[in-house]
Amino acid sequence: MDNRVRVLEVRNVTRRFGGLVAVNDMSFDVHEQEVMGLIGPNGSGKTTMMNLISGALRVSGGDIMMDDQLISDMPARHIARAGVARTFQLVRMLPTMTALENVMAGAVFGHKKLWGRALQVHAMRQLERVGMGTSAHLPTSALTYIDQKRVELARALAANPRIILLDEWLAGLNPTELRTGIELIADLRAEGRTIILVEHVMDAIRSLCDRCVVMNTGRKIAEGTPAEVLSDDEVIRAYLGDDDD
Amino acid sequence: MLANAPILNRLPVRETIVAGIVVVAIIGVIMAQGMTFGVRMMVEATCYAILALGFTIQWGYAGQLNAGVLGFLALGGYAAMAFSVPMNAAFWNTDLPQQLGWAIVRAVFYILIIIGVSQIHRLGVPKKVRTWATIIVAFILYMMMKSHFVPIASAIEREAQFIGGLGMHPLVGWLVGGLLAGVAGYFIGRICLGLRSDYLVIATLGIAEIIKAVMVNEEWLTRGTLTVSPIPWPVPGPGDIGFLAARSLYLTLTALVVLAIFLLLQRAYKAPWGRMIRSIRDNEISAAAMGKDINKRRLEIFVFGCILMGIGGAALTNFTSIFNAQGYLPLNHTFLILVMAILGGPGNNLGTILGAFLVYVIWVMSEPVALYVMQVVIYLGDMWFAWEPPGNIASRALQSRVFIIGLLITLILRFAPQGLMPEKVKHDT
Ligand SMILES: Nc1ncnc2c1ncn2[C@@H]1O[C@H](COP(=O)(O)OP(=O)(O)OP(=O)(O)O)[C@@H](O)[C@H]1O
Ligand SMILES: [Mg+2]
Repeated sequence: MDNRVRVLEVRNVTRRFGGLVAVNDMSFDVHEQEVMGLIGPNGSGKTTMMNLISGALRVSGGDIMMDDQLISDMPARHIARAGVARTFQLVRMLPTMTALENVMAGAVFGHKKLWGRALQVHAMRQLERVGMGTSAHLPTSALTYIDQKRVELARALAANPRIILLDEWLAGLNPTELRTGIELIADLRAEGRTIILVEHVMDAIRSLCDRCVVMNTGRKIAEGTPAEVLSDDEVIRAYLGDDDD
Repeated sequence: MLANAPILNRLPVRETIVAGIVVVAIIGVIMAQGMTFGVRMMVEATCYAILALGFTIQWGYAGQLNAGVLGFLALGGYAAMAFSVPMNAAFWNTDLPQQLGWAIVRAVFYILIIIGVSQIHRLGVPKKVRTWATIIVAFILYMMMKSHFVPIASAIEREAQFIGGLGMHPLVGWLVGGLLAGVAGYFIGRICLGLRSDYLVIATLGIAEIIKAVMVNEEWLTRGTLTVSPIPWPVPGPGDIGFLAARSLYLTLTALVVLAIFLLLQRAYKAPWGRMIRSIRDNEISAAAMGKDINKRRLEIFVFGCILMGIGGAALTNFTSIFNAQGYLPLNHTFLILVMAILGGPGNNLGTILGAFLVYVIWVMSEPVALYVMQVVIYLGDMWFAWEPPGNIASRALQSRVFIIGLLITLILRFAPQGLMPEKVKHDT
């Protein structure tokens, strides 16, 4: 594991909302071509952590580095252009556009600049990849929630990112869809991308993640392979509640 | 598979109905008030359409409520006047132009010094020191600048009234008017777009009044309250070919400008730039996550809107043929435009153009209609009760415009808050 290149380094990151400490002194590394699971009970600060990495929120303290760049003081758009793309737990589509236009909007700041026809073809290929090729010209409002999530992934892929942040992207899929989804994420890793995955679906975590970081009330309570962390006492207690109370 | 997506997957029923109402209203005005009146109204409505398009892209695309349309409009009007009015021999035949030229060179030099001082933090000076140093230097140089300008300005006012125009084709003035308003918009936007939107309203409101106050007071540039007229038209004037023909030509010109701007906006809407703007409008957070530079795009939109306001202001002022800085009024030149854009549907360009026509018809007709209603009331009152009416009926009728516009805003906000042609956007909060 450690012979791999470290692409993301989170050091003592804290984020407060008023008196609430949503992320508390978090530190972890993410390596190249790794699928890292970020798990924890509801409200433990996973989405906030993702927002901090992508720059949607500023850190209250601590640093986030990507390669040798300090990204925690960069605006979201620069982080995106540095190669970080994301999906949102609560989808954030562009409602006045079609699925294809949504994906095209995501492609403009990819590694190479695409225009016109080439851009359309590129966007179309991303949609086909997530199984949405036939819905390309539908307006966003005509898509189901799950389909919107797919388009969001296509939009993220359109930028050809090095790091992809997926916030509960697999939630709500049926077993068949889940299998395709897991395969897709495995493919993305095989292409050389690095993936941070916030997930509650244990099957996905077991089959996809190389490593997991477990959060509870903003803190890291465990880190290791899925098998290790899922048998950790503190993790079990965090998920199931303390037997004593 | 990759066939271009249908732009409109429904019949334009709403558009047709609204356009129909506008056409009927215009025909009604022409029948009631005559053709020359009707054409005049349409010219003014097209000018307002340009202004309203500027407003609607700022508001509809970037959520910027610009309550200072008047200021940008006045800048356009000033440029239209300054470029087309003949050269003033009383000014150019003296040595005042030379003195003024030197004063301007000095002013540029001072501005460069101020810019230089504002950059001294690059040499390691603390930012706080830099800010104070800049303010102090700017103040001192401003006073020095004034001491150069004031005697020249009063000499110009004394000997030549004002510097006059440049005697160029009026359309040059329209273009420069757009440019001037755009440059002003750039600086104002740089400062104000960081403000929360409700503060932007107040800031733009204040800036518009400042622009107007400068124009009223710098008599050597604008003749102040004395006004400048006549401003030559870009097309043959009424003196050459008669009112109806001249106004019709003017209408052709302004209608072409509206059409050109409309087509440009529709094109931009589908271009990558437009997609970027729409993605920001649709969802700022995901736009930022996609690498869009939100502040820069916003500034572009603001400047672009201001340019349109400048052009519209130039066209409108040029049409009235008189430049009167005091004649720019918030009600006529800001709020009326706001009402047009809301009625049409903010961000909907076609809706805004139709809204401009509809509101302008109401605005123009409210006076004669109110007068007529008042006369009927007086007639009946006199007949039945031998009632003695107040004397100033005509000016009271004029005031009804204010009432009608207020009523209109209330009705729109109550019954069609999205406008007649809503631009479908769901904003995330
Ligand atoms: N913008 C915000 N303002 C105030 N509090 C917030 C904000 N965003 C998150 N929080 C709070 O921070 C805590 C962590 O929230 P977060 O959304 O990161 O949790 P999560 O681990 O993603 O939960 P879930 O599994 O339900 O998605 C919660 O208590 C939440 O209420
Ligand atoms: Mg979450």
